[in-house]
Amino acid sequence: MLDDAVGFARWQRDVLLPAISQSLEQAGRALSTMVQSPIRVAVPHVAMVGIDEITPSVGGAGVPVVAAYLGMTGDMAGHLMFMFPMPVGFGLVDRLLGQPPKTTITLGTLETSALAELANITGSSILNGLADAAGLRVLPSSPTVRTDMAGALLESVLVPVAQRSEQVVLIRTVFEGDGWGIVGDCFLLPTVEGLEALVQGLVSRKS
Amino acid sequence: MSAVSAPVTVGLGQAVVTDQPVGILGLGSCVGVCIFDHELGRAAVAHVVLPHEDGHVSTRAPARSAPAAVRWAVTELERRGSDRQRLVAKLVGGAHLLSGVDLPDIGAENVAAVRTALREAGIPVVAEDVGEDYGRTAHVDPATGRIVVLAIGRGERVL
Repeated sequence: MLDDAVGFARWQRDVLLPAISQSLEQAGRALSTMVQSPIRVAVPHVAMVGIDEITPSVGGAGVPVVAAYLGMTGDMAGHLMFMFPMPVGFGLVDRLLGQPPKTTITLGTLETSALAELANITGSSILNGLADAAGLRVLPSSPTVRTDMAGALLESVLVPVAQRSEQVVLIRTVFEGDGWGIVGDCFLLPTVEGLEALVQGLVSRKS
Repeated sequence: MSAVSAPVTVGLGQAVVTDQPVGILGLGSCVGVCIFDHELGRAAVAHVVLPHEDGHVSTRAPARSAPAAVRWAVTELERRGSDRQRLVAKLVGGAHLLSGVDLPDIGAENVAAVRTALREAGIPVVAEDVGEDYGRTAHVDPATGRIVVLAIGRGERVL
């Protein structure tokens, strides 16, 4: 089923995407409560990508980004990282805190906390959706928020995984409110064993 | 002082021998290894990912591990006429960005492995900007032997 490009693309569309999308409705409700304004979270695109393809998707390895990291333990160990080009990430903070655009120019305690909560809610929902669909137990860690160069941050979580794997799951994530929308990339980096457990779980549940 | 222009970049596990400016963008735990032959105005520039060889061999990524990178760089420089006695090295990167998270400090392992490989090859390290918890971009100019290191919010440092 996953051996050819067409089969794999169909698997992403029919299995992986629905598993994540359903659980993100819950994330949207939680975020709406947090900011006391309607927020919807959608995932228009999920793909398996090679490690070499990751940094171009955020604009290059040297681009400043805001990232939020969650570790994963349980049946699917590994890492999850949200990444936004820095001005986009700061714009998202303004939306979360109900501030005028361009208010945020650096991440203090309040701004970091808002992004951490967003990553916590959204990341946990993504992982819960996948775990439920695949029949796995996955436990996310508390989030860590950092600003730095995209390549430098990705290396920090990729390299321990890349020693045995060169594929990651790219989950393009859209946060939408009244009259605004912000797109970010979420990278799911399971260990080799974690990815196998996910694929096997999703395929066996689906069939 | 402005950064040296760097039209060519060296990606993960890649390496080049050149007399033209090159960049290594967004170094985190990886180490940029620059071995200069000042007499020829030439350098081998490698983007080392791992401290040890892991059995994954690729001609597209000759610098995947520290030992392989140094071996490749010395071989290619000598093949182009460099005398090993006059080679010197500068190192950039090897950070531990998510230091509060339960992740191994591969940056420190990479730096140690690169130093060991260079020592075994008889190449001295004459300058370095390594470790800490932030990313770096390195612009390398083989003609001058100069490296401009950029880090967000920290300005630039010249090696």
